[in-house]
Amino acid sequence: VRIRVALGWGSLLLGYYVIAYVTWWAAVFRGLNLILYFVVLFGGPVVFALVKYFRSANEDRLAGVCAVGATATVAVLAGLFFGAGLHHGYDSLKGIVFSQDASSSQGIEQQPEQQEQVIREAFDAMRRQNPEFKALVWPPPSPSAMASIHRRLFTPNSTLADVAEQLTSALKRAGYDNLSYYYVPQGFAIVTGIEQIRDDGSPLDSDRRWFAEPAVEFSLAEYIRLLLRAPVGRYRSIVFTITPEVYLPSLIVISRNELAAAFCQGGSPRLPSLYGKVSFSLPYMVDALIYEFAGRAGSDPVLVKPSAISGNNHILRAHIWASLEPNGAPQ
Amino acid sequence: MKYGFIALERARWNLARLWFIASATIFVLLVAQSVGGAYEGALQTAWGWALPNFVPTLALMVSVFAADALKPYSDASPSQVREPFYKLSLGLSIFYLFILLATILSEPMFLFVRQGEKVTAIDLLQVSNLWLGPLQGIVVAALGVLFFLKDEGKKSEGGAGSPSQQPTEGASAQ
Repeated sequence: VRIRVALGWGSLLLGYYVIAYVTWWAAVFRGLNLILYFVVLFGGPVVFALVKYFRSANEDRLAGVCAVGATATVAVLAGLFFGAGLHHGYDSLKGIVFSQDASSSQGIEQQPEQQEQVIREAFDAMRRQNPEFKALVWPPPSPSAMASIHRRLFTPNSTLADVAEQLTSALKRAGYDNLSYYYVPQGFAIVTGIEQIRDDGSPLDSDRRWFAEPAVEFSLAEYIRLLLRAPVGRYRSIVFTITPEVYLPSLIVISRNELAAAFCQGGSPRLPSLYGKVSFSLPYMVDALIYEFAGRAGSDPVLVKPSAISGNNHILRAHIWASLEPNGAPQ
Repeated sequence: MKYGFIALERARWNLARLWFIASATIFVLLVAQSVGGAYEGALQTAWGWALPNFVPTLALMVSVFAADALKPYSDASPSQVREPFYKLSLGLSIFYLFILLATILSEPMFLFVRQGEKVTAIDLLQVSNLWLGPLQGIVVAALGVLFFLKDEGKKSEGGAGSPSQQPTEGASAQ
């Protein structure tokens, strides 16, 4: 009888452990809600204990209470065990998903939903740990023009940090020294300072490029033009977004000063370390949102929409294509 | 010290010619700037600055000429004004109108020199009141004497100047 009782209890515990493990596995690898896992983990023993308690005769209630105590202890121990297992499994998963070596992520690419969920959770955790790393207004306000930066311009099998490094280096070579980093969903954004441009989209000379008021180039034609017309400044800021999320810019139209207040202040000078662990895999896209403004001295320049210059030409004339790839041809 | 003389009316017309030509130039320039958008958002300020700089003087001249135009014909010798004073008035007028015109024409240079700062052409116009104000006072004082000088030609045969002096032939404004 004792053996039979022992076998019964053993089978029960084994079944419980199997169910709990399957639930855990499903939670980690199949996107099952973690709450369901904990319901199984703790709910099973509690239900068992309650059934045991109410089915017992009055004189056996004491035994039932003991059973509740025993199962609760088992549940706690199991919770600790599976909690540790869950943590371990999560770390293992991170090791696969976040590996800089793309070959090690082949297994996980078969389960993109899990990968996405884990990345999302990791970014959520990163944002909680780095509150100073601010998020870009999302979706971003309506730009003057947009351009997509082809993935082939970036080193294969790179991480988001590598992409940021490449893009930052290219921007610095193009004369953009004042860059700010922001968080966007599961990615980041790089915002350039507000520069002054010519009518063809090329930036002004370095000594006048970053003037907040219209710059003046002196020549006879310009003299006559300035005599009859107040100088009009053309300004541009480029926001590079690196995110797997498909988005549409909002319909909000902002002015230059609003953009300066929203984007160009408070950005982080560098990215948190998590970006060095997230691979620049296929869903990630690099977009350039071009915000072009025009206005006279003393006024708040307004958004030019749509820009007379295409997004690709903006990037071309800003010498960013040339900095990103040797031949400098837009894609 | 002997000075030449010039007929008062001739002096007035010479000065008026100078003022009307210069004022018309400034006026046309301001119209072109207003149409072109040089003072966008501050058009009234620009005209408010410009008009007091030459319109009162022109009004003074026109009123004096209008009063003279209604006078009956007289054989009396015309009033005379000393040539140095006339030349002083003429010189002051030329200098003042040149500074006035140069202030407007230097707006592009001002914007070039002060580029990157939050300044507009209106700022230059407002600053120019510092030097145009005193200068205008001096010019108007000189012109006022010439234009409000009582014509005494009818009372004395020799005119307003010294009877012993004759108007110089070569004394002309231009």
